[in-house]
Amino acid sequence: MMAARSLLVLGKADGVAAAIGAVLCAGDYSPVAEGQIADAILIDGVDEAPDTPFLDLTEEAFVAQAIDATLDRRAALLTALECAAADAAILVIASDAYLGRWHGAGQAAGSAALIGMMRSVAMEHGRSGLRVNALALPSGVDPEAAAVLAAALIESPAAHGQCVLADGGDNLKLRQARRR
Amino acid sequence: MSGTALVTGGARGIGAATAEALERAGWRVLAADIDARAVAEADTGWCAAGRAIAGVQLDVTDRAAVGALLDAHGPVTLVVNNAAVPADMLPFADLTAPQFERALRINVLGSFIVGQEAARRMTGGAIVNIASRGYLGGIGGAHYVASKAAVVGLTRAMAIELRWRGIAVNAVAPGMVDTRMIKHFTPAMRARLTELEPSGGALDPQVIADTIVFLASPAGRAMSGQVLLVDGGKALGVALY
Repeated sequence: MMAARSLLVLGKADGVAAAIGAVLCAGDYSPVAEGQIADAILIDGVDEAPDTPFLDLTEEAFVAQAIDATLDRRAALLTALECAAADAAILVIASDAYLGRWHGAGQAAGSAALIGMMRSVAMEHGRSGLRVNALALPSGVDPEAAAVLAAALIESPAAHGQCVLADGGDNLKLRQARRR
Repeated sequence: MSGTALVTGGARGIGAATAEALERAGWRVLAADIDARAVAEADTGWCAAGRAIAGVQLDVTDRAAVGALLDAHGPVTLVVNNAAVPADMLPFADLTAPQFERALRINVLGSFIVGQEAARRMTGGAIVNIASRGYLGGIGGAHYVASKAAVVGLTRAMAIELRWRGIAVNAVAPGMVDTRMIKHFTPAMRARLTELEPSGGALDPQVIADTIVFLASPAGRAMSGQVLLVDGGKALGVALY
């Protein structure tokens, strides 16, 4: 029987990553606290979906969504690198806003910045045995369904530097820019 | 095409090449740059040559100054968000929070402020945001990567909303271009990066400028929310979004 692998979740206790982590820990993973070495690390990179038109978005709100959020996620990635076992998997839980979002320009910028950082960290650590990926989710996702994909990305030895969009195919409907 | 175009970071490099290419295509151009000395030098040359390009000093993160410039010279029908700070090619773990914040404020917040202030005054036209092939990730310079990826995300969000105001929003993601930005690299790094370029070297800024002129044209404005990778093919094989 395979020994339970340790899982560290970085981010909000009531966030999507925590919910996915809880599902994983009900199975093959055992939770560890920040500061301990972990086999798998989830980073919460999802924030509240805003609904403010681009032309009305305040500078303060944009800075919070695009810049402050990116700085927080940079710090989480640094913590993840410090806590990662040699062959660990880091999985960033991101929002699908990186594809662009109606009334969500700040979130789109912040989400895309996170995917960019993830890819850079993956490229820099590609030869170390560490694997780094992202799972991009729409708002209101079912943590049980997301956990299936999260586990696959954590366990796959081949997936590295990838952003997997898990929206049930909604992006195929080309709905974002329809005439409002 | 005709009308007034605003090009930020317009006193040198890709910005100056773009200002000149747009002027040749029939645009009146405001070439804005934070570097007052570079603006003065470029403006002197443009005036002497009788070019319809005005060099103006501008900090793209100063919303009041951006608004005042647009009110004084408007209406603007084309904006090229080109102002950016170069990358420090340090590993992710060695880059500081202030380095990240500076790149994000100038490269992303600057594009947001200029794009928003311009779009509030525009009833049609085009906005071109200058990203970088680096948005796909890279070894070293993660702050620059994050900022340029954010520019791509912002571009797509702006395109979704502004299309209904008749404004096309696209991004150009240049590969290595022969500008001051790569002169910032060490000779060894420049040689290593040059070796990796399928085109055999850095691109001429004119190539990027010509792409922007296309995006400002009626054919280019039929596109919106797109990222044009102009990198000699180096990004081939990379899993895009």
